[in-house]
Amino acid sequence: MNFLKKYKLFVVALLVCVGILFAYEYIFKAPISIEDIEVDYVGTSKEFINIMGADFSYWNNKAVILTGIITTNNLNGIILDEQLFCQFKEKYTPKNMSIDTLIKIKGYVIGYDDLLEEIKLNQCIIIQP
Amino acid sequence: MIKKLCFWLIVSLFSVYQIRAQKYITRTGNTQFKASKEAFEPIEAINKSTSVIFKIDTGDIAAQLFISAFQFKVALMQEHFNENYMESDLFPKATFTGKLNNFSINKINEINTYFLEGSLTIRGIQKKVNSEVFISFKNDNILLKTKLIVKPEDFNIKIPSIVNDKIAKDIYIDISYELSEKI
Repeated sequence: MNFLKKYKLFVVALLVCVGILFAYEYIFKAPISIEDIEVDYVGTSKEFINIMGADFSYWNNKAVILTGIITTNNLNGIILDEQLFCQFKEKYTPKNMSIDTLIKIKGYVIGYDDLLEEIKLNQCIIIQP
Repeated sequence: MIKKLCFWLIVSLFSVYQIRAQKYITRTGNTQFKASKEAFEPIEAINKSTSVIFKIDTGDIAAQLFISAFQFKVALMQEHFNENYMESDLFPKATFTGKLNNFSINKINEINTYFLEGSLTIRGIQKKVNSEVFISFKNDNILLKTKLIVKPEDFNIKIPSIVNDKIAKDIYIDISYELSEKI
């Protein structure tokens, strides 16, 4: 009898611990990575530039997959079709980013930069060269 | 004939000299803020996508960042920051315009601290700010570092009383921009 009671207490304590662990994991979880997030748009960068022009604010923070031609290449990112800057994800240094190559990237839209007059994406990764 | 050639050669060389970069820019400047109080979980985030244009002939600086590009370690914190505190759907950007007083690119190696005066616009509210900026060359790039201190109430950022104790009264903004020539 006593043994059974002790056993129940143990199970309840275990369940509470597991509950707390799950809650802790949920509360403190890191933001979803670009690899895992579902995209809201797939298309060419030129098409996207036209679509975004209609309503910039809708696209803020949406993930997209875009195909375009590299027109500029620097340490932190690439520019597609002269109007779309893709900043690479942290510690991501893809090779063979030559000018005039066609490339498919996935990234978050962060908005239209009117200082440099280009659309800005960040956390970008290459889907295929 | 040769005189004419020399003349045009000199003129064209002079023009090339004039076209030398007057602007230095970055698309990936680092702007970091800390609003933590000791003994509570750190409230800090970094934005690595700040755009900056620096005109070296006048000392004018313009910077712009998207609030939603601030990266937090904790997803919930990032969500609350955007939805509740900054309302980044309504106010997606923060901008800065200002000027480095008495700036001269030729003197960077001698004088590398300059006084920056300008205005910061967050959530549609403009506030005058000033700070000391440290400038140096890093290879061919200009490295610009400064700190700003702002208060949430200056920009109408409402902190619910329930978390008031956990958020610092002064928000420290750390700026580090590496600017390259724009040709």
